[in-house]
Amino acid sequence: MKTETAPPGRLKSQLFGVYFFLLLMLALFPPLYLSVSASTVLVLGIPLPIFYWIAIAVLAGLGLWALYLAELAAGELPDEGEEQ
Amino acid sequence: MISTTTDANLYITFGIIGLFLAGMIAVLYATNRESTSFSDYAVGGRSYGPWYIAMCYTNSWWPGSTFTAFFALTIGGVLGFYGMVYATLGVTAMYLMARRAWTWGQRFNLRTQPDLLGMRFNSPAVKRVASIIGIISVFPWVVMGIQALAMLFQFASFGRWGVTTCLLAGVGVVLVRQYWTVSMGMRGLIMTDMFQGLIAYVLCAALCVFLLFGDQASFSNLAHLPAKMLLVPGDSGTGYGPLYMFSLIFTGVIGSMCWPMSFQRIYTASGVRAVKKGTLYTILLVGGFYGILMLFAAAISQDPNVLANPQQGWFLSLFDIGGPWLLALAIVIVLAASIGHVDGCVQVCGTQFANDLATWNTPRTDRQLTLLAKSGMVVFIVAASILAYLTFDYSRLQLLAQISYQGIIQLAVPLFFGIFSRRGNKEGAIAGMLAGIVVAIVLTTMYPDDIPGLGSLTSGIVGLVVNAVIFVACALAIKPSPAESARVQNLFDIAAPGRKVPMGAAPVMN
Repeated sequence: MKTETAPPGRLKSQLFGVYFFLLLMLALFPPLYLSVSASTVLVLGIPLPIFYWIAIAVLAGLGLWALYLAELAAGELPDEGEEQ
Repeated sequence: MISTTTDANLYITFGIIGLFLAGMIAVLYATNRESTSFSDYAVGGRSYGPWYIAMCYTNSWWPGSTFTAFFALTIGGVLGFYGMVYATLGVTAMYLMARRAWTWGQRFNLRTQPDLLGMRFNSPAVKRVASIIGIISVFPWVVMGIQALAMLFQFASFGRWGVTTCLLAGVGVVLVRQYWTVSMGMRGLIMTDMFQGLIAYVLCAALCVFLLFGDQASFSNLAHLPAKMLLVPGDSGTGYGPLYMFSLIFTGVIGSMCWPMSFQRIYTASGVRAVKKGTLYTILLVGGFYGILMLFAAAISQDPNVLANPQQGWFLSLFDIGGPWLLALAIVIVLAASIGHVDGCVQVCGTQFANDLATWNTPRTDRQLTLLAKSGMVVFIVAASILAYLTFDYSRLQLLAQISYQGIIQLAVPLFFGIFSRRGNKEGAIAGMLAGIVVAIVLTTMYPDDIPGLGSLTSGIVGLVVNAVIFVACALAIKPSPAESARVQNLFDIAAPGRKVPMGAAPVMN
């Protein structure tokens, strides 16, 4: 029987799935990355067309750290060596 | 090329190189240990923690050309920064496939990426086709890696050594280093990757940060970059269509796990958590190091010497800033990255030869497999060294490398479908990979860079589409038997979160 609310595991997968999909779109969808082309706007002293790529990489890293912590909290990652 | 009239400068450059090589050999001797089985030799007994995984992956990911070809891309514009994006998103793929890839590896004693493909599709033919594609694709990069070492000796000798002497020195360093790769296998590789990685990536990043606080490569230079440097390829006036960046990044993201040496790092880990935590550290290393290096490249990009010779920009800029001492450091950093990459390639190709190909007709004992892997590594490195010597001025080698990249990503279809989906079969995997690689090779020879008529798509992406269509068509047309469905279902069940993995299982096939 289907439940009204998604189980926590599925909700976590969906949230992170959407997050990484959006990052992929930023990296792969031409209208998005071409929209910053030639911009001379500075963000933290870095031109926007450069900052754009750095930001995607940083957000990917942060997202993965968050996913790791979420999996750890959910007990999905056994202790080192337990599998052996 | 930098020249000098002072002999003392040569003592500085060669002295620092000598210190680096002595340190590397000391690490090898200090950590030398006899392998107890072929799995011990091939994947280090599946015993390594996250930092080792991260450093080993980074060594196999960023070769010496990062400091020449990629550095030059950023001297020319923002294009060079795309490497940071595809590297980090590619590592994300490793995180997502870690549980199934590692668990299956442990359960079925898998040692190579083709091993996993063969097991997943229950087909030795899939394993062998994937292995052959992998070995052939890696080969040009080893040849170019050896040639890059020769260039380092040209810089170290300040142009006083001829091309032949430099090439022989490069080949000599590689051959001497490979003695330990062959004798120690993965364990030697992982320990030296830590040493080499600390120099090539950690020291390099720290040095670049320090230099960004200086005058010549000041961080503030980034605010004054010329307008043409800020154009994203695909914008008007860049000569590329809108899909060029898409192609480069997509190829890089899916390609990350297709390179056999990158994928094999999963099997060296002590567990799923080690792989996943290692992935997090890897992102720090591959993304952090590369981003800082490229910021330095952009900051120094308007230096007239660097602008005139962008491929040599790393060496020229450091010599301009810090004379022979910084040049020596620049050389050792690139040497560490180059050796780390070549080692990883040689190790994985020898292992695949023994594990995937030499078992074609008959099963082998651990002792035979280890001997075959060692022999394969020797043949591979000697062949690459000879070819490096013969093709030093052969411009088409770069084309072979491009073809290899477009070819290797054809493994992505069975790999990603195989790990993330229960669908698909061996017929689709084999036909798709072969069709994809043929399309990629033919189109790359016609359009080495991009295909203007397709919005600047690259040939590998077109091959990938053909590959995926064939794979899906076969999956739809050929229904699996109940036994095969149950087998695949069981594979996914044993890798579900919370399941214990039985150990000591025999390989599922030869």
